[in-house]
Amino acid sequence: MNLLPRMLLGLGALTIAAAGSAPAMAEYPEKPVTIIVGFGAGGGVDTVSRAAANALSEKLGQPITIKNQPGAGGGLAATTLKAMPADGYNIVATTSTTLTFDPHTQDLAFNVDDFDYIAAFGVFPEALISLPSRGWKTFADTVAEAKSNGAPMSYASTTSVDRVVVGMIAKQEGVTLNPTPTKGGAEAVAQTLGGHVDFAYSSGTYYAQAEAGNLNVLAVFGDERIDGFPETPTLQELGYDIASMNMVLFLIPKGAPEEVKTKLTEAFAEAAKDEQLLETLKQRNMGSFVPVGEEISALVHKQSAQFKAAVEASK
Amino acid sequence: MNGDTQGRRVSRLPQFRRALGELIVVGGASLAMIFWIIPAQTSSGGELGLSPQLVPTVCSAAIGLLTLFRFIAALVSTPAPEPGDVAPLHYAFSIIVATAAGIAGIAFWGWPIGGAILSLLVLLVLGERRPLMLAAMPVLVAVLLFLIQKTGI
Amino acid sequence: MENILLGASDAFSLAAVTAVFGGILLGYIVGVVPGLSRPAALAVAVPLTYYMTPIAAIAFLVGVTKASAAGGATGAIMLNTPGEPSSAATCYDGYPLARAGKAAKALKIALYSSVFGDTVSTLVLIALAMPLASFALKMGPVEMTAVMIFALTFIAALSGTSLSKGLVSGIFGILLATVGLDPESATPRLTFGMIELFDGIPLVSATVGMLAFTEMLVQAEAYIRARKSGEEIQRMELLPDDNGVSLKEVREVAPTAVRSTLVGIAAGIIPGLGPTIGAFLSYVVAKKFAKPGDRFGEGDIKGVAATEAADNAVLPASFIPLFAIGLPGSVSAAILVAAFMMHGVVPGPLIFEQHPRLMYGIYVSMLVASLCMLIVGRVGLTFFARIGSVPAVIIIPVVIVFCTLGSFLEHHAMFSVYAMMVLGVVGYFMQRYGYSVVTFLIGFVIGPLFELSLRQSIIVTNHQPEAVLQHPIAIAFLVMAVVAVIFFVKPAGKLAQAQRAGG
Repeated sequence: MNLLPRMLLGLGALTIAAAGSAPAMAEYPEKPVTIIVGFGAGGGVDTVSRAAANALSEKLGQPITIKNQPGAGGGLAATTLKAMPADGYNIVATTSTTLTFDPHTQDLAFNVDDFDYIAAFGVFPEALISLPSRGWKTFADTVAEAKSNGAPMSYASTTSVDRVVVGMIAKQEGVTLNPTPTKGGAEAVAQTLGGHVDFAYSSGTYYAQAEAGNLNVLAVFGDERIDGFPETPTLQELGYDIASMNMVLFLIPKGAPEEVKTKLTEAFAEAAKDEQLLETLKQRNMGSFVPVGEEISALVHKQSAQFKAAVEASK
Repeated sequence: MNGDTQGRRVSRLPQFRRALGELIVVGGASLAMIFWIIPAQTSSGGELGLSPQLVPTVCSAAIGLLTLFRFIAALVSTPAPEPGDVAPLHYAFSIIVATAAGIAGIAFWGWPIGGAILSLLVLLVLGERRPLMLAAMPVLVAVLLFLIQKTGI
Repeated sequence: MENILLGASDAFSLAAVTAVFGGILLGYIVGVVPGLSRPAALAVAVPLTYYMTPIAAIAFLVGVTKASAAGGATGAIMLNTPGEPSSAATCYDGYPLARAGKAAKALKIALYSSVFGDTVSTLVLIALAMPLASFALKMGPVEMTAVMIFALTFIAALSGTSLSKGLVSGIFGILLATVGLDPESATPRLTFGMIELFDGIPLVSATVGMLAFTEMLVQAEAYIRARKSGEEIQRMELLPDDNGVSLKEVREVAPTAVRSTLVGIAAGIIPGLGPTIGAFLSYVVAKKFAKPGDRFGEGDIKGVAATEAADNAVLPASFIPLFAIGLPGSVSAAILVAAFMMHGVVPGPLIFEQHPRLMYGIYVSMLVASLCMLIVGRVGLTFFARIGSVPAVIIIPVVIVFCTLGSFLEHHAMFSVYAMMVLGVVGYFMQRYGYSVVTFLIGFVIGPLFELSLRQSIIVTNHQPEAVLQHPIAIAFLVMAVVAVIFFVKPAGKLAQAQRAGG
């Protein structure tokens, strides 16, 4: 029963590949460029990609088409991209952990070395949060309470990244922090607000609640503190050797001509200064970190190595 | 008991064969799930809540047991009135094949052409032979799908 | 006060009213056409809203979701093919009514119940959002597990005379819903190495395949058979009289509509239950309140009113946690969050302080949407009531085309189309051997929620089952579940006995 869809799928992929392998091009880009967003319309990755599209299209002199291909946390789009020609006409936008983390824990058809990385726009304000009534100012207080009272704590988890990071901390501190799986950020925040879990990981949904004083922000996952909560330390500042940065990452299949990569990098560097993009990032509390070219490429590989070590350590 | 069963004895054989067929197909599938497919297709261990295998295994086992229960019930119960004669399988099968071919057409040649093929094949299988109908519907479907595609969907 | 008036004037601006009307129209069409469903409509609608003003964007999306719920009844009544899974239970009484020549009556009852449920629920949202939202937060993992156990008893309730077959198809639904990445360990389950299955079998593929495509196979089979044996293929003509709704009927249906609306509102507030479960629950409740002489399942207008009022009441109620505290209570509400964010409005506890004018504008727009729905639905049903006289040879191919298109639209993936077809074939065989596709669907929808809440409960209570004693809401639902099982199974058993004795 699985044969038919697979066969059809294969045939479909073949036609796509055949349609894409156009004769050698004069000068890139000579036709519209497609950004395949690995998440649904309206989400963070989608909004940032669309905000960048105007500036990109101006710089490249070709329209930008945005397509959504959600599935497997961006993994479906990355899988599709890997099979596409490396001509620069197809760019995938997804979260950076799709490339830096997921291949270490899941049996995926791609890994971090299959792509070239053009740019990353914004960092998700990932953090650990709790009810103010728990009386914890930072995550150090949480760990102290877990140690003194010896009982296991439960926290609302949304991704395997947070499970690995919190698992590493728990191991280092010798406490038990049990991840409770949730369907996503909204559920994690709701369970924290309702007092059903001790604390929660959230990649951004918490922001409005924390701003209103209904939640405390205990620790930041990235390597910089978050705008609006300058008191909250990063995990590194708390003495843990990990920084999980999740960004909106733009990638193309490996092996595109140098000239294409240069053109794209220039266009993204230009878009990184665009007012509209920076405004969107600000609205979503995603900071203003917009590395392009070599910088992002190095960062992605560094993150991947770091996550690989963390996954090994948590096993 | 009613007069029907007292008067002329309804044969138990068709009901028995039906129940046995169900037991073999459904029961066999549930055994295959428990002992082969689920272990091969899910990982286990290291979890705090439930094993990933638990719910699929429990479901498969429950389906198998319920089917076994139905088989035993069929052996001991009086035959239920046979459902009215069922249509031969190849009627539905021909529609399924037409749909599959149409979907393959969509995968190959896109929505307007594939959709036209799909509607034409289904019409033919339904026994439609009027030329006007066979020409008009695929064209209209193709135009509609083309317009939907044009609007950026 | 000033903000309320300003908001209202925004809501009555040309752009906003056009957006609401456009949304209603799009949603209604999507609702009516079997195969096209709400997730597909929203996937198409969201990118359109990038270019609208915030109030127009949100009003547009609200219109799409509301009207698709109301339109879903049309396919259920006319073709025995629900336009939306939440209208699946409308088939039980709507289709027999249409076959009896009372299609227009059934459509009117469905529309008026929809608008009633929707309007009341919207007013509840406006008036009581804050206190009800705090109730939503009390629903933790333990409470949700109890709610899901309660909801699973509907499988028994809707199994009819063959409880064991109903259970088999319901459990089969739960089994298929486990396909995908395991939520706890993030490892793939039963995906056979296909990354397309990591997020599970697409819900749209399952509902469109099992409900619409399966029904088309059944109808095609009947059509071919009738043609081969030279039978007259019967069409459903409208009876000239008895297609209006009399005052007596309104009085008769009113208690059911009110009860169903309350059920729908409750299902909307509890996160995750959603319109499908709400509508089924309401149908079961209505059936249990049946008076002697009611003919549920054979064409009772109360059955149509029950599902449609509840279906439409769920949606506004699911916005309660969203507007009060910024947390979406349903998939549709989550899409509204995205629309808010796109326009720089962050949903949260401060949304009324920061954007009062917008929020009051949205409230007024929601009421405008109810009115538009009534108008569009009333005009539409005069046309749709005639679908019954369209020959099956036209209906079947067109619906099959829309089944493929509709399953494609949500994720723009051919994989969803293949999955739809495979599930449609599975559904056909299930129906052929007397296994209900409806109980399958209930299992498929509730299964994953149940598994997840159960795991969450086990973790937050530290593997101590006695911890449930500290959760009074959970206990209440568990008691209700036990009562419901006794209640549902007993009459079904009696009925079967009676049939056996009489048969």
